[in-house]
Amino acid sequence: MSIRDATHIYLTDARTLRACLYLAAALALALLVVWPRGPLEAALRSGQAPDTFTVVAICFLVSALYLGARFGAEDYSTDPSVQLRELAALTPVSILSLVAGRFAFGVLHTILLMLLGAPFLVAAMAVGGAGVPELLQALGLVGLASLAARMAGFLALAVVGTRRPLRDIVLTSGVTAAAAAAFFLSPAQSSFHALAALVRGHPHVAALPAAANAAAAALLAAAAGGVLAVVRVRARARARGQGGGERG
Amino acid sequence: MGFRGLPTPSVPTLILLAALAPALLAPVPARAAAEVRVDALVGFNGTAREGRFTPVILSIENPGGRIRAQVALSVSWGARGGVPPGWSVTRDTVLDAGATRRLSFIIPFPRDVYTLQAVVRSQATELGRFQADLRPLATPNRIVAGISSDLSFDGLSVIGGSASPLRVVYPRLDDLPQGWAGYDGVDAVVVHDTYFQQLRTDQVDALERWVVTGGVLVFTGGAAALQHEPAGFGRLLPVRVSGLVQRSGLPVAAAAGSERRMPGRVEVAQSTVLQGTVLASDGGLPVVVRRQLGRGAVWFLAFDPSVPPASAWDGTLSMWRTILEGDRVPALGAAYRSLPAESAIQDPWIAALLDSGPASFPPVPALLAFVGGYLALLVPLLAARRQRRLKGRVRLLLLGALSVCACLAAWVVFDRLLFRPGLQVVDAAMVDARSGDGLAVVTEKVAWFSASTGTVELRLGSTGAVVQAAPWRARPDSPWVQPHLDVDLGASTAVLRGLDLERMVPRLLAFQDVVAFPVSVHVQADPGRIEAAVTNGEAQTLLGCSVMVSGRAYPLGDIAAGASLRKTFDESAALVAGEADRRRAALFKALEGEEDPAGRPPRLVGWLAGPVLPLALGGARPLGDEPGLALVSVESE
Repeated sequence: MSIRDATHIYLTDARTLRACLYLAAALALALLVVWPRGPLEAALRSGQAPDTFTVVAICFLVSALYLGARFGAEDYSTDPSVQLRELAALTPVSILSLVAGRFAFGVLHTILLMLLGAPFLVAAMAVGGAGVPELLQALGLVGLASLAARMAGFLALAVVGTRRPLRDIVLTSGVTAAAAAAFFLSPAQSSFHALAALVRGHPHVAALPAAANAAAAALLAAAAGGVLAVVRVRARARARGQGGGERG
Repeated sequence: MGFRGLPTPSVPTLILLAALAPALLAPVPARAAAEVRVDALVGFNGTAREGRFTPVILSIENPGGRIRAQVALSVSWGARGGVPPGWSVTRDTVLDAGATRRLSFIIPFPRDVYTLQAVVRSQATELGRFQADLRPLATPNRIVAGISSDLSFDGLSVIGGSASPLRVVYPRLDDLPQGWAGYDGVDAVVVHDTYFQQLRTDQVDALERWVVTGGVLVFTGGAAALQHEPAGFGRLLPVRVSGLVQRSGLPVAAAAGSERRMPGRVEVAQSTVLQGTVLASDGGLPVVVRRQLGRGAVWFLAFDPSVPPASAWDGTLSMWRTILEGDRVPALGAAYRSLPAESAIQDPWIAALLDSGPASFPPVPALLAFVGGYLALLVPLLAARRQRRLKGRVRLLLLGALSVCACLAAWVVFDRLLFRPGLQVVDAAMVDARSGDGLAVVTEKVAWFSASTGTVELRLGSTGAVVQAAPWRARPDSPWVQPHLDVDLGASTAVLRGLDLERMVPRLLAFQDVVAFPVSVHVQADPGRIEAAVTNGEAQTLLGCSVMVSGRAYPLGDIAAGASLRKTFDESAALVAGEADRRRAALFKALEGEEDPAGRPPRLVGWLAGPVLPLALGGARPLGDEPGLALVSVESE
């Protein structure tokens, strides 16, 4: 599947488009719920700064992780796993171009998702104590985390295939476990911690989690490529075995 | 083969040159860093009143060549972990070769003051250091400074008694502060004689401005009175001294609270009154004169109370009690009080302006309109029916364009129109003056906050103002902290650096200074009739003026810069003191709330757009785009 094909599928398929709409709706709801109300003086008196930007950014991250994983596993596509495994096993398309194509389209589609959610973050920026640098860092961080989740979904698709309940369990628990492990065991690499600290005077806090997410995305894509390569080798071996049997 | 005409070096010479070569070829420092000797004189003769500002004179002796140096003076107090609260000031100076340079500073001296440290650096190299424990210098007692060539006023220490102990100090004329705040810890300055030395103009200015803030300055007479005018005190003296006469039985009783005349023959300064009230005279000769100057007073005693027979007379102590009555109110009130104290939001002036301010978060309907509009445009693109399906690339472009437009719209609406998240400042001031003095005490409070974190820098176009930072805490559950102020002192400016900001946590600095304020007011209050004459010599229009007599207001309106106004009111035309404007009304209530309006003398009350002191907070804009507000009160002559 080329990038053009993927663009066509992802931007014309009703289910895929509806998922983007749900993302926008979730962010709109979050923004409305945490929007500060009343006079400024009350906030100054209580010393409680509105966490609008942080909450919307974290909501965006959670949504983007979920959607990224689902998109990566091609849950919104028609009969995707068959296509992927067939592509790997039965066609001469190189595994590298297969993985690179998915990765490149994943990047493009993630950028689109970030663009869709960006207006909500911009609206939350002023009252949430963020500036343009914080906005760009938040978008970058959410985007890279979503890309990593997408590659995790891709890996799950390559490994588990069409066995839906099993794949969903593996994918959901894997992504949740990774996020929880970073949150509790290595806060410096946690996207959640970074988003929470972004407006609290830590300008470079997003760098490490962003790098970790980018590395995770690359590793997961490579792992998926490895799995697909194994699928191809086994398919060829099976084909050779079947050919030998027929000859015998 | 040698060069013709040049002597051929001998073998020992070559060996010697080879041996010296490393030393000769080694890089020679342009100039070794010279060491300087630093010493400090804190307070008056090493005595400083706690809870006040106090002078420090650094003496830096430079035995080396001329150098450009940076002097850093810091005071710390408290003993909490981390960076101790305190105050630091840096100043650039030139240290001439072989000379001693004296630098004057005025430092806060809180109750739990701990150390003073002075470091002299040149190009990041430390040249000298001085460190002192300030605790032994602190005193809670009242201080009277005697300017005298001998210890003439030691007897004054009995005045305070045990209830309000009083200490007399004798500073050298050279050590007298150059800024009014240097006298903050002093209740009174008694000038006996200057040993024929002359004060510098800045020292006289400092004394005058300190009196305006509530100080008491006493000139004593006798033969030494002839030194006062040549010493530079001329414009402060309420009289002009022209000679000496001998008098017997001086009638000081009324001024001294004594029943009897002063016995014996006394040498008295012959003078004519320039300004002030004669409280006692002897046949037309002024003996005790008092001149009101701002909140303080200047006294002239024609006789010398430190020599017999006055020193032995029982009325002298009563007279001193009358003169030194009451403890001077320190600059900025109870400066550097213990924690916790008023934060920005608890400060009544700032709270008054915040309460009446129009600032609020962007309204929810605006957010609903934005979100609704964005989703309304997004839905057709994301939930298009199959038959109306757009091409993928067109949809991608449309989605991208819509998102970018929505981002721009959100930024314009929420960041620029409805809520500007930058630094916002609230400024409130009180300008307190007395007609004819030409000077006013300005107390200004500046609070600022921001929706985001960061640091700010405050620039003050004056080096004489005292400043105090209100304690603050980053979050409601954080402990209160007294911030450490870093001041960069220039020739005529002071820059407060690195004032950190937490989100929506207001910070407050209070300033006090004495400034020129040429506004004259004369109110004649007769039964049934009030007559007011006002001249505004200020460069700004006095807004919303009224004359206040016995708690009732007679409106005058705005008085333009340079304008004079004369108006007569029927007594019944008075309004109840108050303001229609919400902000003015709130600040007026906060500033005047504790005063008894009926007990105050007639005065002019008006408003100035702030800041009154030359303050600028980098990148800040006034809260709700309303300028600062300063209440002006000028007492009638």
